[in-house]
Amino acid sequence: MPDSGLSFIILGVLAIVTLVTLYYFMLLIKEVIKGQRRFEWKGAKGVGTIILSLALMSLFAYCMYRAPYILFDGMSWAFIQQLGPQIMITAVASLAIAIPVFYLYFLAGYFFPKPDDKPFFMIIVLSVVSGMGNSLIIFIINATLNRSIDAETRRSGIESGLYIYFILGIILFTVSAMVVRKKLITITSNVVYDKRMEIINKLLKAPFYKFESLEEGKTSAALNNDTETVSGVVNMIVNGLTGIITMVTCFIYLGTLNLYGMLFSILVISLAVFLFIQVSRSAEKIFEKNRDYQTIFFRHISDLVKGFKELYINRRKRVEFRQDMQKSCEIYRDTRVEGEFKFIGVSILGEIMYIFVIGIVVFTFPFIFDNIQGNTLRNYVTVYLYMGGIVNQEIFLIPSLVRVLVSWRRIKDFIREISEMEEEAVLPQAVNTQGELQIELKGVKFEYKNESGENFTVGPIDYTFRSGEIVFISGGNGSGKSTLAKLITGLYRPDEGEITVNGEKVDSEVLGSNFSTVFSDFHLFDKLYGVEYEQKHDEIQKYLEVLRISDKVSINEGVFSTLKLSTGQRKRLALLVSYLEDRPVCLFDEWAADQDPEFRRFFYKVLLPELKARGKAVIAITHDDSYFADTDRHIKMETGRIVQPRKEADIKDTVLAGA
Amino acid sequence: MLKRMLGGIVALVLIFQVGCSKEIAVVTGESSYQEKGVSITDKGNYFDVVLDYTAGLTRRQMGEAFGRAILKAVPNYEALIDSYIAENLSTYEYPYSLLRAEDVMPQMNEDYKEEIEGLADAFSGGKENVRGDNKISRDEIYLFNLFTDVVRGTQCCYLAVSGDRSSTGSTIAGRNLDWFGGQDNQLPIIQSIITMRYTDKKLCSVGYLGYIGILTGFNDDKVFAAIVDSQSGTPYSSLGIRSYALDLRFALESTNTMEDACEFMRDPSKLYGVNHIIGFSDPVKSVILENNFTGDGLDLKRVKRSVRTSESALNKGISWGIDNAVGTVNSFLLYGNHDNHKPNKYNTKRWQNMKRELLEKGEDVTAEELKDVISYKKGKSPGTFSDSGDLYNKMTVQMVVFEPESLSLEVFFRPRNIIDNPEVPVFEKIPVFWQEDGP
Repeated sequence: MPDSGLSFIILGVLAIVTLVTLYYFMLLIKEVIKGQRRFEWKGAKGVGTIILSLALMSLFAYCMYRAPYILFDGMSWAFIQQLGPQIMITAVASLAIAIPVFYLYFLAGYFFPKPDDKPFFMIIVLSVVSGMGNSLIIFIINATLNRSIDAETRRSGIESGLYIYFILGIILFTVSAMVVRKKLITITSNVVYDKRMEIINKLLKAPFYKFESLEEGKTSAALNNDTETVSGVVNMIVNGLTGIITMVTCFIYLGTLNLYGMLFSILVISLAVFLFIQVSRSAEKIFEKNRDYQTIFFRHISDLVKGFKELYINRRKRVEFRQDMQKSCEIYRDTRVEGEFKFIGVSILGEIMYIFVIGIVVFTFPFIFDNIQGNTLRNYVTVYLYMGGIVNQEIFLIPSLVRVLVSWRRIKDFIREISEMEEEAVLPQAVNTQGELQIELKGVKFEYKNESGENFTVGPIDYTFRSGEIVFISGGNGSGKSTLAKLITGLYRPDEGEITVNGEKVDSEVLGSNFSTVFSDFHLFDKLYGVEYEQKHDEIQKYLEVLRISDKVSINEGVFSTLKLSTGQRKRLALLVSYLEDRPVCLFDEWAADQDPEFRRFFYKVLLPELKARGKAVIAITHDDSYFADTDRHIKMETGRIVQPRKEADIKDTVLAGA
Repeated sequence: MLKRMLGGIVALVLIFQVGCSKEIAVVTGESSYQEKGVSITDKGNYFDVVLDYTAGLTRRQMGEAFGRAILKAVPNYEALIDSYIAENLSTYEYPYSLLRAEDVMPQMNEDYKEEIEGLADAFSGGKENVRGDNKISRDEIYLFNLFTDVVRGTQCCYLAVSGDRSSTGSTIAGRNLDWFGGQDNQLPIIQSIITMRYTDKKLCSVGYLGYIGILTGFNDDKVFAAIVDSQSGTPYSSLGIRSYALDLRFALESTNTMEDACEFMRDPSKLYGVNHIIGFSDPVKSVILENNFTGDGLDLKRVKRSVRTSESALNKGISWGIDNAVGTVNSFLLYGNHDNHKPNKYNTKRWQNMKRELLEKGEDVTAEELKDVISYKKGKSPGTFSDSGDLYNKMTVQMVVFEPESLSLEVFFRPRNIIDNPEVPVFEKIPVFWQEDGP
């Protein structure tokens, strides 16, 4: 006899779904009116979707119409109307309203898409449908087995039409799961994309000195590993949600067979989940630790790649590095194993408990429930066995979910960390640099820890760089030349004093925007970013030839054909990039150090004068004292200070005297 | 297929219209017909049938004459019964139900078989069984007569007061027949009072044209009986089983006392396809026969086919506590019998309502008050059978109040032309047996 409790649940769920669908439908219509959604003709795919969805709706309508006949042994709706329960008739009537409403909403959303739409409600409903389709399959299998138990009814599965419901269950499960998966993949990929871009944007806005303070490997881990881990949540959500809905509908079904049996099953499974959650908490700490070692591991990978030469030629270094890497690999492995082990014990326990429930049903229910029928027991066991896979899947999702949570937290922490790096833009965002440019350092002082871990102070420095001047900076190792260069270019922010551009105080980004640089630890991108290369084709070709790398590298659509060049060639290419950027100030940090005499000469005798002639302020950190005469001014650094600001005439005199 | 789907959608919308009331066009035949051995008179809402077995006809001839008379009174009788069978049996159930009926035939009383064969002779279906062809074949008329045994049971209730609890001092019995009447009201269209006259016995069946068993009936020895279905989920087997509706007819024909009739029906050698209950009444008392022939009980007790009285001990959690009265819904209650009562709300609700309503009538219950009890409904209109708890519900097609001592019979028949039961059932006083013999 039809069950009123089940009908009541269906009615309640349908009422909520219909109301919420109508709400979202209204929102959708509003968005269409506002132009936030536009009609998009999908062509043959759209026609196909309409036809297939109409076919599914027709199948659904047919199944509804034939429900009493197929599901209740040849009954008619007229019979059900008299037999009841009344609520079942109301529930089915509500189904006849809810499904078309949701279907129209689905079609409207499909043909009036919204960019970056996140249709969570639709996903939830379709997940429920998918889960119900999944459950329907086992219900129908049960019903067919029960009916075909006698020889005379062994073909009843086909003859009664139950197979149509079986097909409906499969279609509902697969179609809904497919739509949900597609939507979730889009949404989660967008979320991962958004997070990645948020990290990238924040990183690119961060001042260099703060960026430099980030733990090496952290950025790669956040951008690469954590976001990838989070993107794996798609399958977890789809499988998890579908599994949960299937379990809920299976439990409701079990409840209609025997309420106490259902409560007992829920109790045992809840206990298993509780145990899992408890274990998850301790495992989460281990996974956090594991994630810390992942950062270290990433740093080692970076070292391995960047320092391969050094490792290759120095056996001892290689052995020690290997030991360190092995250690981090071991800890990474061990923490992962420890975390997974935490789950294994409880997983097995969960499975055993689940099988134990089946045993209890089979062996004790006939004693506990006097009236329990053989069919009920068989139905229980069939549903349990069917749910077994789902329960296991749900339980094993928990460790993955814990890893996702750890990664998600890491991403958020990393974003928070880099958000704090952003400087408030209280200073002018642009300064008029047309014509003469004057960068003035007034009492600039900067303190940092040097490679030996000692505090080192650069400054106080008072100095002015001007357009049309060449300034050489020289000094011994650790004298503060490169730090001064980073202060001038805005990469470091002075602890004291100020740097002005044409008399105006500017933030580090604005200051840096005046510079073209080739630092000693320069990085060569494979593309000409920030250069209008289309208009500079001839110039590019000319300098490639001048720098004698035209036979090694070409530039197509702003992209270098290769970067596999010698250090000297790469520096020449970096010089070309810097030249093409055409900024008011050019800074070269020991550019000529790796060049042969010919190119050194070209650099000092041709390029720098040419830049000067073009009105650029040229700053070159150099040790090439044989070219000191070619500068307008020369700064010598010692222990962080300018010890001998020299004028052009003095330098020339010194050089001449030396000669 | 598409046409059926569209039809389905339209039908769904129509079906779900709350409070819809369907008026049935009833095809009427001759208002009165008589031939040797059989007379049939249309009484407006039921047919009054007399089968005179003293007229010298063989049982087959009697059956054929009955069949002819039916077709005179209800020209579309075959279409009504054929469609009713089709409505109740799906395509896959139809063939094996015919086989089940075939399994019952060897155990049937030869006289009854002859009568059914005679009925089949009058109908046009012959030996060809086609579901929904508007013709009744031989096997289909067997199937119709074995409906409660092999197809679908009745969902009924029974209540009787006697002795000090009766206003007359003798038994007043009431029973509701809750049965699906068919989408086109097929059963109400053919409802009838069938009087069977034998040389030394008279029998009255409150039933249906062409149905020769007893759903509700009594004999001139003032023994009243009504069957109530009581399914216990036992796997069905038709091998070696008998028809309890036909056996009940035989019991009323062949016995003179309630005890004998009851004993006949509880005979362990008689196997039936469906567990059932029979309410028996005579002028002095009323008992309930719980005929659970599979008999799996509680607490290692195995009650099979036992009689329940107002004093009987009932299963745990079930109480009656009304002396000189017995009542039943579709469940076994005797202590030690299979408990198909408590798990089913449609039993517990009606049982509670029956008890409460009867107790409200006090210690001295009249026939009118008994009618009130069996007419109980919670709302304005009768509710659905399974969840309303209404004794008078949407499935109720007949309500019978009978006083064995005075052979007073009052019956509510669902109007032939209305699917939905009226808010208030109207009982008709029906004279019995006096037609032939005078008061």
